[in-house]
Amino acid sequence: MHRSCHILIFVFVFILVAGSLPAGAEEVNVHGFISQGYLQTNQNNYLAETDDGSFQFNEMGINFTTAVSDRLTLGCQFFARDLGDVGNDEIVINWAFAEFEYKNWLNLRVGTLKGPFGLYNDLRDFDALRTSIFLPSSVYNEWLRDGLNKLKGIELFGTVILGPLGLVQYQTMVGQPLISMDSGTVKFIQTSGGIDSISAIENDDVYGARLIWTTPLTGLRICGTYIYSNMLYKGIASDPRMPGTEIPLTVDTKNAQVCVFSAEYIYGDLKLSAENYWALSDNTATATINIPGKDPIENIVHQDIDVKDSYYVSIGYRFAEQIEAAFYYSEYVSPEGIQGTKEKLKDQCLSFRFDINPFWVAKLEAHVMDGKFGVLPDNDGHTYNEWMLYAAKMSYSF
Amino acid sequence: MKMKFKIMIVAFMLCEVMVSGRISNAFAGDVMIIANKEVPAEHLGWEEVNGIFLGKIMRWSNDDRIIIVLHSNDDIHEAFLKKYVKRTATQFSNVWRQNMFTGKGRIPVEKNSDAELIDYVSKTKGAISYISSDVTLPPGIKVLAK
Repeated sequence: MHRSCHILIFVFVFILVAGSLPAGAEEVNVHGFISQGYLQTNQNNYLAETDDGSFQFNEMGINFTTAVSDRLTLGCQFFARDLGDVGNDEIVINWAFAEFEYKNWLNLRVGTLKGPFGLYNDLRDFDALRTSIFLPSSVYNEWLRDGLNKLKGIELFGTVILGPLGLVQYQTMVGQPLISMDSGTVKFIQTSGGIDSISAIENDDVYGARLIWTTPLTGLRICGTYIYSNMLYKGIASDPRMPGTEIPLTVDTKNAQVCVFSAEYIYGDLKLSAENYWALSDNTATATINIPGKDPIENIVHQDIDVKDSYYVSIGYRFAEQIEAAFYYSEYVSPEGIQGTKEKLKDQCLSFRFDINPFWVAKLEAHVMDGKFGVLPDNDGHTYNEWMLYAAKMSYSF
Repeated sequence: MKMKFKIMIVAFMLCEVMVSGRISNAFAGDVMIIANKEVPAEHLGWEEVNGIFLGKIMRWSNDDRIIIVLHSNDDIHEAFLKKYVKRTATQFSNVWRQNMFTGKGRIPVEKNSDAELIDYVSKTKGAISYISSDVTLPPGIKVLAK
């Protein structure tokens, strides 16, 4: 209620400010979207309680933008989503910024911004902008969406025209990620790290840069992303050898670096794309074991994270004005766990998109999955390597 | 597992067969790129037109804002996209929808007729658009590509 109240005040002030803009300012543009999906798995639970089917899969947003002057634009988008335990339809500010345009090659944005990440992070929140319901999880992990998607900071961006070599769009950013304790990022850390609960998460500033080169070969774009950050979180773990024992745990992630290498080729109605995800970091986990009557014992484990084998390839084709289909193969390989094993998730996804009219989009999609990474046990407590995920979604936008 | 994969392939192919009789573009004429006579350019290559209409290039060389004006006639719009932007109408629309929902770029203006479009471009500083090559242009407009 408290947050909703702040947002209502924000909207009111925005409209008030926009209404009193100087002569020459443009009107306020309002756009919005709402989507409702359904998820079902034949084995396991994935992202929500999908074993029995789940409607806890929706997104909605409304945005306001206005050009205050020839060079200054203000805008904000309010957003709510529900995906299993994540989001729960709480309204948040998705993006809100002031953009100052100086020259083609140098412009500035300040406020709550979307982080630079691969070719498609910008369109994550509104699935009607793409063919598939889910972006490939090897690069666009659905759990980590809120962490990568929103930073409070400052961004320089622009376009450099290279003449016969095409053009390059760059984006550099520094900002503070906005990760709440009920976010997907926190749930992902819990699930993948085997941690019972997380009590605190501290992020240093995140530095990010992205270059997108529109090459002289018509339809070919090549993109590189680099992100650097440090993070620390505290939580409680348990040891199955000592039932009922709570082990306080601190994990310090230093020099966390993420790189994404991307390529996209569009020829008429055909679209091909591929992206490769790298993640490197130095992790130090400190577990404090309290034994009654004795001094606490600190157990410190260092681990270098090195993920370079995660990638996807996709092909999409629009068969008619209303029908588009796409297939992707995505493979995620996790870092080595304490026992020296790596978890995988291989995903073969076929999607159909139906543009009913310019406002309504319907989608159907099937995933053939192989692996357990990010997977939760089914309602009987079992996990399976081979499983299927079915998704359907309907979206409206204006 | 292999059977499921085969089912997916068959579904994909069926979709292609279902819609194989797509209607081709009905506009037989050519389109030209026009702009307000004040813009600091005399000629644009398709790459520059592409960059402007996809929102990558936002300002003219004198830093004046580029105002994109679209023609609501589907045939002229599609002929323009095919020749200069190398995108289908859906792909082009998605680029601007993406900008709309990420707050980036300023949404293009759309005009319903040649007369409206010519009037707007001739009176708007920095405006750029496209029109059938057969149309006779008034003095306030220059041709940047034909």
